[in-house]
Amino acid sequence: MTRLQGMRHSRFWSNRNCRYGTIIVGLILLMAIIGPLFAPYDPTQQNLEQILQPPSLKHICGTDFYGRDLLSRLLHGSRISLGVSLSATFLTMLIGIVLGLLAGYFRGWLDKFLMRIVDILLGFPRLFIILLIVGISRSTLLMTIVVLAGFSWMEIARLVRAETRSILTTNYLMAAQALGLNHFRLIIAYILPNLRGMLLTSTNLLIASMLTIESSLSFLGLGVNEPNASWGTLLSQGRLDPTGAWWVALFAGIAIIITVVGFNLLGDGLNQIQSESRT
Amino acid sequence: MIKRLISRLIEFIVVLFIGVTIIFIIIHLAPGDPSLQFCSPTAPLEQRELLMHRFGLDQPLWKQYTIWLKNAVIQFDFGISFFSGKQVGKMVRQALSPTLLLTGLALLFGILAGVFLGIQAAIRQNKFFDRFVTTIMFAFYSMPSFWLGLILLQIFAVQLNWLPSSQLVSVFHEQFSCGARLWDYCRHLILPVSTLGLIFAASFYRYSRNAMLTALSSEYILAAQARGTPRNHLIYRYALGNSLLPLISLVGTSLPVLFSGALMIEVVFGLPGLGRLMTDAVLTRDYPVIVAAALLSFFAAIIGNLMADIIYLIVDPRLRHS
Amino acid sequence: MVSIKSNLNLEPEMNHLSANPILQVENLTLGYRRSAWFGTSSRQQLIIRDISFAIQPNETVALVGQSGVGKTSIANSILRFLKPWHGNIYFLGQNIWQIPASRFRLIRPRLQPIFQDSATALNPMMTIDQAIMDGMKHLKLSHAEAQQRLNELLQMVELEPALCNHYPRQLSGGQRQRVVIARALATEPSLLILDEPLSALDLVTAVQIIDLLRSMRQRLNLSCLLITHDLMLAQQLADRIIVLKDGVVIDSGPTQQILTNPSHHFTRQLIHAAGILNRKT
Repeated sequence: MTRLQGMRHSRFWSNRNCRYGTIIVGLILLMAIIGPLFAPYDPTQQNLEQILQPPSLKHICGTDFYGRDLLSRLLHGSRISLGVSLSATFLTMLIGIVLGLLAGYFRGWLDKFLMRIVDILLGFPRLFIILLIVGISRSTLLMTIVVLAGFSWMEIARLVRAETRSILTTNYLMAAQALGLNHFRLIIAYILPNLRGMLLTSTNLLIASMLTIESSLSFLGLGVNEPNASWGTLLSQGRLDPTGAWWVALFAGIAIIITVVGFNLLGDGLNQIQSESRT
Repeated sequence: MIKRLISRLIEFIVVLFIGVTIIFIIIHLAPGDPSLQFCSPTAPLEQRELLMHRFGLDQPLWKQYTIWLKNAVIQFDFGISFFSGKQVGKMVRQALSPTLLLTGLALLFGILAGVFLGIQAAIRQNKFFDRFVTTIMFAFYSMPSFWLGLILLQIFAVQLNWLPSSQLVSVFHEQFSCGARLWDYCRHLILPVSTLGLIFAASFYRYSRNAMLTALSSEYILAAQARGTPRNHLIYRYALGNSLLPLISLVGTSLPVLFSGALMIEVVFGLPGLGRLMTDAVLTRDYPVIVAAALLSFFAAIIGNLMADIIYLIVDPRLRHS
Repeated sequence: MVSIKSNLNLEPEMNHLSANPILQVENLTLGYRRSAWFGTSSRQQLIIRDISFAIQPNETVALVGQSGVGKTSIANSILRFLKPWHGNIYFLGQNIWQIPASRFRLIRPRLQPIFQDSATALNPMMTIDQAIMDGMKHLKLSHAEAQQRLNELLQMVELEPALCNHYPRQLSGGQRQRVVIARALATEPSLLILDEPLSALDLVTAVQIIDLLRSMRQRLNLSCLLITHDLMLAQQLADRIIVLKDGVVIDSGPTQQILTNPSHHFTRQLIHAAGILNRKT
């Protein structure tokens, strides 16, 4: 057991994408957890004498339109941005895995029905339909998460279904069926563990895309509302001022990119490890 | 093949119908009374009822649904905008051409640049060129498109003032000569097209580099290499030929992007396209416009999917002969 | 070995059937319907036509034929994975394709397959003790009883207990095949279906596994259906041989008779080929 874990561990760590991805994601998560404690100012504290200050020693990332310290807002915003994208991802994976397993394992009419739904929902351009829903109802944080997940689970369900179907044809699953194990045991002990690599990869890639979509929504003013601010909200405030307060959008954007890069690296690296171990 | 085409078409119509119904349901599930958009909640009831009547909101639900099917799907008539009072169908149609212009050019740029660089990088795997381009492209791939737009806007329009920052045409566009008008369009489109193009290029780059690497390491290439086939022949005939097929399907699947991919870019650059229309309508709660734009993008997406399928059917010899 | 009382309530029925065959296959006809896209057209392909045979208690029967003749399809059909077009399969007196799935699940553990490739026969994400324990799930043993039985099984298939918490890919092919056998035996089976059990093993390991299978069969009074292309292996293990060609039975009888006095020229070819190979090794 220990030997195996050691082997896996080193294979994970010797993959460059995985290594850098883990470091970046780790630092970002650390920032979201303890960062706000070290924020130099209250993120909602307006200071009208200090509006739109460029970066300086006093305000490392400058100040915004209302004189609020951008570094503090950035640190606090990380909790919201990551919180929304992580919970949306969690919900997406949950729906996708359950429905994908049901469709792939039980097949028949359930499979046909679920896959039809997937086809139809995939037909909708995601951003437009999310805008439609957010636009005609009052947008709250929970609403954003639910809508994001509600229109993102289809890809996961498809992947899980395809993988489940291929596991169903393996000898080890046929042998397990011959042991007379029940459906629950087969799914929990024989199918799910073998989906692990694929699920880890897609979770990371999904978090990255959720972060992008969330920031797009907030940028449009339809995601997180004032006085709370996700990174996307901060970005949109950068747009308010075209006269040259470049720092307002710059730092929030960099924060988003670094995070997305981190999760993408991790997802890519896990994918590489997986395809290496297949061959 | 004909059979497959026909069954695909039937599927298309079913998906269309269900999708339209889903949009109708979403609209009617939405909380809130749209008539409150026009008058204060304290306005007299008769006034609100008049409004409801004018927009057909006092009819029973099934009747609203049939009217919706007839008007929306067949005549593409969505009534008039709550906000501007213009014909919604006309507004949406007008918004379509800037969007298509923008995304069409960007997609073209993205495919050409992405595939070309992808092949070059794959040939030079792990050399400086490959690492450099891969890193840059990975950054573009991870970047929200609108942020890249904001940065380019800040640099080239605000700081350097080389290019206009918004709209598709200048204020005095109508008075320009023919050549100057064309130049005017170009100047306005350079920034949005290159922003979107770079983002698209990053996806195509990743894909074509991977496909090319897989092809180059496959056994038939090694066998050809062992036979002493010239390197260029090896790369462009054998490897490229075999990695092209999935690439075509990728281009196919990105066709829906033509209509919906530019939403954020249109907002950043203030282009009067479909995405901008949609976001403006959402912010002002202009229901008919929201619905029309969402529906149009849905139509476009499933037509894009259908086209992708048909292209793939024509291109893939394995499917053609089955 | 501690004998464990089965809670399947099949004992009286089995005693009643003691004179009857463990497995009886009647007029089995198998095929695939290969449907094209959207089911617009489908091609039918017949694999096995009208085969009947029976396996008595403590008997080993070999199905011999070339690769691709559909031997594995017969096994899949007996294991209720592949629905036959025609014919009946009786296992312990039950018509397995007629009884409901819930009822079949009760007798299913008594019918165990051992597949040809041990590398794919075990869940890569499960340690071998978990894998073997899964074979005892239906016996509803207490933890201590299960542990004891696990140790006995490991001893029986000559595996070190230290290998317990290893994953399949950490084992050699021979060790994995022993795990597969141990898992099959854990269920207290009445019939083992051995589908080319040695084809993925090297010669030395193969001989060891043959010995193991032989001693198991004697100790546990097992019936076996051996599926192989290798007449020599059939000679080693089987009491009776059935030769298949092009989906039909062309020759069958006691092993000695088939080998010394084959009635079909194809059987003679097989014996000849096996003889050549045998001389070489």
